[in-house]
Amino acid sequence: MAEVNVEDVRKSFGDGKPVLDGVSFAVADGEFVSLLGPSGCGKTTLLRIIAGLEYSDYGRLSIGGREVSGVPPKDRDIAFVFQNYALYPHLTVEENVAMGLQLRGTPAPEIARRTADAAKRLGLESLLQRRPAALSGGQRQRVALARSLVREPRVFLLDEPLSNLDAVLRERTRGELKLLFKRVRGTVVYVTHDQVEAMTMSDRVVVLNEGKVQQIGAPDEIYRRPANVFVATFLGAPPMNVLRRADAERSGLFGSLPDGGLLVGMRPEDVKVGEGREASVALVEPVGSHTILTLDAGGASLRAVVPGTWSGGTTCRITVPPGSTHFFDAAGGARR
Amino acid sequence: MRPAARGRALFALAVAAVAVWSLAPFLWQAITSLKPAHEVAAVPVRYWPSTLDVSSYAQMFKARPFALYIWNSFVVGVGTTALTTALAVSAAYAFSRLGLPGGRAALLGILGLSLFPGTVLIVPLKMLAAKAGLLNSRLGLVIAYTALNLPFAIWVLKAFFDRLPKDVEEAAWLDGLSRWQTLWRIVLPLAAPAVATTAILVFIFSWNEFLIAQTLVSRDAARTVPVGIAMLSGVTVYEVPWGQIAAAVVVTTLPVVAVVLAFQRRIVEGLTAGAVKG
Repeated sequence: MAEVNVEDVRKSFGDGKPVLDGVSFAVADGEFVSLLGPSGCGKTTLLRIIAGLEYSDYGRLSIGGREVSGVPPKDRDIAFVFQNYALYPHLTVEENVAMGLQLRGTPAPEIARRTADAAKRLGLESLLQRRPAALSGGQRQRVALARSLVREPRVFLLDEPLSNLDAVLRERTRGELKLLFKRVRGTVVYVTHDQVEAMTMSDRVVVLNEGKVQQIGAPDEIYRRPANVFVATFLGAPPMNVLRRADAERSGLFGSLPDGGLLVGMRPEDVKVGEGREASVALVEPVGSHTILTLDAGGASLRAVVPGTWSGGTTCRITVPPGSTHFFDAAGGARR
Repeated sequence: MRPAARGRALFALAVAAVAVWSLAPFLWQAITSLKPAHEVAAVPVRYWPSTLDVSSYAQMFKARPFALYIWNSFVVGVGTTALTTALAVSAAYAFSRLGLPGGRAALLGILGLSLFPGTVLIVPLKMLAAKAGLLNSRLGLVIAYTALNLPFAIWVLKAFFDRLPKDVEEAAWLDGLSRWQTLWRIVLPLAAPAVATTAILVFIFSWNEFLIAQTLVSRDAARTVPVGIAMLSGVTVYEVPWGQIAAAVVVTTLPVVAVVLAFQRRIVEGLTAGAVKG
């Protein structure tokens, strides 16, 4: 295993608009790092640059301390799991898994041992002689993972590997993946647009938007202390409430606010329903374990989360504890 | 009748109608080839011969060296198909994947070249072949046919390659395959249906081509079947040996049918094995 260093990577395609605009981050040996962001934020391009499937216009990239910017993909000692798995349709599962080893001149007994080992880890033993067309989506996904595991690469790169699975399977595979990579102590760079995946699986998360790093930190840290309004509103379901200063003052929920142009943020679960200022309930969204309320407090619209089902009628009383507010610059959106 | 069954019956009926319509001329040739000489052009028309007479076949092989013609056609057909397919696959893959500068212009140029009617090319082709010492040679025909078929083959294959998912090839590079290995071990198996279809069409073109074969070849040693059939003549200028011609058509069509059927099975195999998505 090895660490990955990405330093000031820039990339633009034809129209000159940068897809990646000076991205830097490091992945420690054995660390699971997610690249999280909305579609078009450049996360997949970044992963492809690390893999060597694209080349950056500028910047440095090292794997295990070795500069690899000019090194072809096959010599980077990485494994890549594609979003649509990219299995060889004309080869059996076994041949799919063994291909990389064969091309590297691994001795046949070694190939057999490692293929069997990977198949066992992923529960593919009974499917080894099938072709991909005869497999379900979840099985194909496991073949793609086996193909990457069997190589024992220094770094695993995964491009939204769960996005083609149905919700139930995705949920289960998420946990399995985390365990799997912990067990092999893999260095993992994991691209996703799903905040739940990023939060639950990663040691650290790199939040990207419009080609720039917004924040790097442990899942808890980026949730508790978002570096800017983008991160604050991208993470969390429902996302953080963000009020303009005028609305915040009108709502009467906050004491004295710091000076200057300001955005005031608070997580919906930090809005305490029960006592305090009166607010009208505009929308009730029951989720089962909890209910999401959309409230109107003096013209300010904000959401709150209450446990169980809502039986409080069309008005309620709310407070926001002083410690649970976040302040952001109105101009740049940066945390204050 | 259940709707599904009725649908199947109608479908079978339609297929039969199309088959009869398409095969009628060939059937007529086959019947003609088995008629005794005096019944071939009899008035009124005899649809079914009074006796089945295979003498036209014997006469045809006696009149002209048809075994040699068939061999020549076969060599030229296989040569043309192999050369065209090999060149077109490499070219189409390069056009589809390498993002060559000027690639689009080159593709359009290739298409433009294929718009020239064959007759325009006859005289220059003959002169070129003469200069190159390729008159009366099967190689000369292979080269000319390959040149004529390449534009079509490149376009068909490029269109197919464009539709293949790139991820699979990228996975192959990460596994350590070179470009050529990727083409050979990953892309070609997936493209087998398109390659087989192209190969069949090129082979049929080559097997049936008359004009160039007639122009570049004037000796039996390299003469192909279509020209050979045209060379069949009667005892006098006024006599057309319809029986022999019909026999020759039957004899020379069967190999093509066999080749197509053989390849067709491959196409179906390719389709089921390919299964890129699902």
